Amino acid sequence: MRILKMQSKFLDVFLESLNKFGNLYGPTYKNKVLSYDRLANISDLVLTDEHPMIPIKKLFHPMKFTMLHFNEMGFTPDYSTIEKRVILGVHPCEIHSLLILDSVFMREPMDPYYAQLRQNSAIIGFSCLPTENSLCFSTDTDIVEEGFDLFFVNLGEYFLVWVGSSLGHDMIYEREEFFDKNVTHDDIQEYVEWRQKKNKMFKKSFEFDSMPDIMELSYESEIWEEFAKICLSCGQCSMVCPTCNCYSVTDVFDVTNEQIGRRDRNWDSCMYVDYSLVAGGHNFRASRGNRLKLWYGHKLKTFGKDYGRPGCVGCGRCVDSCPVDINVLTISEALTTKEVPEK
Amino acid sequence: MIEVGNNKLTVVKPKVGIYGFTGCAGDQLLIIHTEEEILNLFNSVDIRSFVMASSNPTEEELDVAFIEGSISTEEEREHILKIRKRAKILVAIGNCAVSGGLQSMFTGDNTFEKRMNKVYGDVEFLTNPLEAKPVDAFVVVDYYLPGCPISAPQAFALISRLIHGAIPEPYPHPVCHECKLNENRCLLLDKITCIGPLTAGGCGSACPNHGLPCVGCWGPNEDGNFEHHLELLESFGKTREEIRRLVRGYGGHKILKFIDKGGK
Repeated sequence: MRILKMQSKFLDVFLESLNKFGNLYGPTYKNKVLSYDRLANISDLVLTDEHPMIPIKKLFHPMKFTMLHFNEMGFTPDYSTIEKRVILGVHPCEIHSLLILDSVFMREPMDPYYAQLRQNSAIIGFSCLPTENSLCFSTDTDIVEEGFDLFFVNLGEYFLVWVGSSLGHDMIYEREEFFDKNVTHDDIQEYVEWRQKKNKMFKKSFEFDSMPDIMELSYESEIWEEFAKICLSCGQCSMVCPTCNCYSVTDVFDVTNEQIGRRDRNWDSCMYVDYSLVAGGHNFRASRGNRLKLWYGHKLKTFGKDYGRPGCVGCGRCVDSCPVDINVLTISEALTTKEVPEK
Repeated sequence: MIEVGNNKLTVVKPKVGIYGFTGCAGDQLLIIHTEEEILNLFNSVDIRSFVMASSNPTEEELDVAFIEGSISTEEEREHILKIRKRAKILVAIGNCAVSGGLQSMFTGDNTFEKRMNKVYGDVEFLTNPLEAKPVDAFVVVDYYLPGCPISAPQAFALISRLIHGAIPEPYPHPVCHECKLNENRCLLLDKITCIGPLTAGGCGSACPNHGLPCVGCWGPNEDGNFEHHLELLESFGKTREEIRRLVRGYGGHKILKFIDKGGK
């Protein structure tokens, strides 16, 4: 992989020039909340160590969209959400989450909506330093080796820029004057020091590697019931988790006497009571405890069996978001020490 | 029923009545005010009675009756019983019809006579007043469309399903679902008394979008963790009575019933 050097003063001009490759998207403030959105100006881009509240999945697996329009003759898929995009400011854990979502949506039969959004989007990654609840050192997702077109590591005066694809190479080629091919021994030394500094900054950690076994051993644990008593089933954890990808599909008829309408797809959560409800009124996970067990199973265990690794990418959003402190930290702590938070 | 004509399958126009009982008429107004759908609605159903839109109602058999407002007089009670008899499907629309509304805030506390007398004194009424109650206190309701006022997307999704003879889809999720999709910071994290997790969604998290806590106007989210949510709000410094008072205004006794039982 090619690694180049770019002086920080060129950053804004370079990023703005990328609009040649697609509409620019990235983290920006909306009502004081950091959110991935279309950038009207490059000055709206917010490059920070904080993560947007809703992860990058929303740009590939939209919260709510129309999949197709139907009538009595058949249906027409609606691909109107698909456009050429360049997504700026993507942190390593987010890139890892997209690689996990790829294995869900892009294995056969491929999801055409996700696949086209993915194929038409460039990922411009940016390094970050750990914040209060970052757990990516525990989940081994603090560094990326694939899944980006360009990746910028911020070393203060300058950036080291990893070129991860031929599209990334084209982007560099367009503005070659900004990049220096000479990465010196001093630069390498500075990068090594940056990584060492970063590794020491993590305030929280958990036993991610042993969690699959602990989850298996704890299947009948009374701990789940303890958490079930306090879980509000608000579903916020699913909305903010970068690898939660469940959705529900609903047919909406037009207000007419003809047989026409549309099929919508909406984000769903296994924390909601109707998620596992099937015909005949049977519900596989009517109890809150079973719903929690399924969710954490995916994050810390079973997802690994199906897709190679558990779903958690250590972004810490569940720690930031849950109003009653149920998150990967408290769950893994409780299963190993039996300590349940009091809140 | 599906018919073939002009090489197109069409459904037969259902006979519809839209009725207002005690309430502000805001839900009927919302139906009329949804400009992008109102002509579609008038073209695709046979409206027999909708006094807000036309003063010449025909009162006969109906496929669907939409009922707004609580039942608050003897005359209204008789009227709702008659409508139920001639309607195949009855839909309660809006908070007053679904939960009783503000006017039923104290319903069931055995002080109705006293309160009545205090406000009106000794007067003779044209029709006997009743303690205000939701429609389902008198007749069987097939579908509920809660809200204050109802939401246009939810209302027309239900109406179009009924036109096509399809079963309307329930939405048993809390306000929090839409609230998070709207990328709002959770008010509970700032220890604000929000009852979003106990309240049925559908409003598009109208209040939290403006930084205001949910007060429950869509009625209970039956799956809510009533017991623990009350404990959480108490830990913010609110007394149980203060929380009950907050809930009583909009979600009314239907939410209170769940709070008293500690859940389903």
